[in-house]
Amino acid sequence: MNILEETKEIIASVLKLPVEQLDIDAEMTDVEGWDSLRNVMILSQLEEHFDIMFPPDDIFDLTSVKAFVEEIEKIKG
Amino acid sequence: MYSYSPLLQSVIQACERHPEKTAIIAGKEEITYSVLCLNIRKAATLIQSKGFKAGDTIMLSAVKEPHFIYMDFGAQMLGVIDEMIDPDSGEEAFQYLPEEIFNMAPIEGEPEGLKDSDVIEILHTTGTTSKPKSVCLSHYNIFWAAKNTSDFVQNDEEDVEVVVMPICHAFGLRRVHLSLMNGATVVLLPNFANVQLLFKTIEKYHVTTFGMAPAAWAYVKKISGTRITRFANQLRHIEFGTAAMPLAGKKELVELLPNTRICHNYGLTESNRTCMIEYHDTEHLHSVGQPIADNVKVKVFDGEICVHGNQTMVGYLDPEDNKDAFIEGFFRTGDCGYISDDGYIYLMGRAKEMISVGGKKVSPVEVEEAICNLGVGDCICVSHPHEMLGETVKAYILKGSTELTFKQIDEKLKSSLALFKCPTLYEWIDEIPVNGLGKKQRRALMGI
Repeated sequence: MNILEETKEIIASVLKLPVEQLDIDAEMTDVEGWDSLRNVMILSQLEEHFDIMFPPDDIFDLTSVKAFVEEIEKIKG
Repeated sequence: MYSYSPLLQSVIQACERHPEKTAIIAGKEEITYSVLCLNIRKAATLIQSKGFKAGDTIMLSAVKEPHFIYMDFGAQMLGVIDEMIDPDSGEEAFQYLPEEIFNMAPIEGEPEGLKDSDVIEILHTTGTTSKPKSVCLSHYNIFWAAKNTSDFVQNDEEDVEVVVMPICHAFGLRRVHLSLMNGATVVLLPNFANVQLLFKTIEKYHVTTFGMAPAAWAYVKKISGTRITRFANQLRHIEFGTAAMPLAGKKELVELLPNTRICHNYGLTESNRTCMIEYHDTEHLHSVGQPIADNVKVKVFDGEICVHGNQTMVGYLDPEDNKDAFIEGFFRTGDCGYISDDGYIYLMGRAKEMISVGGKKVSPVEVEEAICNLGVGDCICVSHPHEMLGETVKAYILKGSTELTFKQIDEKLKSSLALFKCPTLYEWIDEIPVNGLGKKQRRALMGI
């Protein structure tokens, strides 16, 4: 499993962006279309895909693709 | 100057009081009041140079950027009607580059013959219950819409507002207007998605006020838990609007922010903010409050809430829409409700969404609340045709939001609701249909 690639693919598909356009370091505010509704969809699709639950205390810090990837890697150990 | 536009006058007076104070912050850009007023006059020149004159309509894409604010006030300066276009709608708006504004010379003088009763703004309703309509508001209306709100929430020039709601609708737009007319500072943020950024902004600029929809609060709470309490002694007021807040949400906010004035407006695009309830008024939390100001009158005609006031629209753009829009000079909101003996207004639901079960009126909101009180995460109720009764209630329950079965919900509901109000049909739904402002879209489920 490649967490980075799969996370990018899921986020890009929710945002309806070509995956290669998604900058891993970009803050969500700088990515077009990444609003609160889509962020909820991203959270839920990532949880379902990786069969995980983001700890409520950590969600606050998930503000970029990179942050999502690191969090999933941490949970998956 | 600009006696026809009390809103513009107020902004210019704020500039005269403190020209070097920051009016707008957007990203790394900080704009003083003197620059704001200069750019408004430059935007007026640009609009005029494109052939617009008083009484014409300019369609502006209401993007949350300083250049839109210049164009909005620039149009007001000329008496050019500003029709707000939702930037996400794909509708075509007047095209310009921000640089074009800056390259213009500031306009001199003012047009003659303009009045504060002239239409200056056209907003589109969200079409919660019917087809979207175009609402015409005068200089006078938009000034009082902002002024009444400002007076109620007690905004002043010391305040710093973060504007996160869209500004193509009345809720967010008036937050911008009221802050600038008071000489306060406005910080523009694109949306609520990055709650960490919102909180950093509140901290960095010592934000004291903002407006939000209940759905936005639900999101902020999900992402940040109770972190908002960090600002409990900093936030002077929060204004909620666009949809109802569940009672539990109101109580929770009062506990989290005991020192913040938390106000919730009730109003339509046509009537602007009509009523306000302050969440610390815990005895009246089931109501939408009282009329927002002395100049706003609320009457009930045949069970329907009707409004008259300085902020109430001139009328709809399409004359067809104006048929039955007013009764005895009062705007018909389409909401059912009543006024209590102590002057509070209680809503019973949308007149056009009320479900007539054998002739008895049922509010879908009441049934939805009763179902949610059983431990269901969310639901939406609509009318369903019935051979004998005409209509009955059909409930869509949000999938995965409860452990209860339909049978269990039905049994429990029958002990808390009159039988005719209980749904006769249940169905799971993957997602509750809401519009961009978080309002439940019942008509979407009724095939209308």
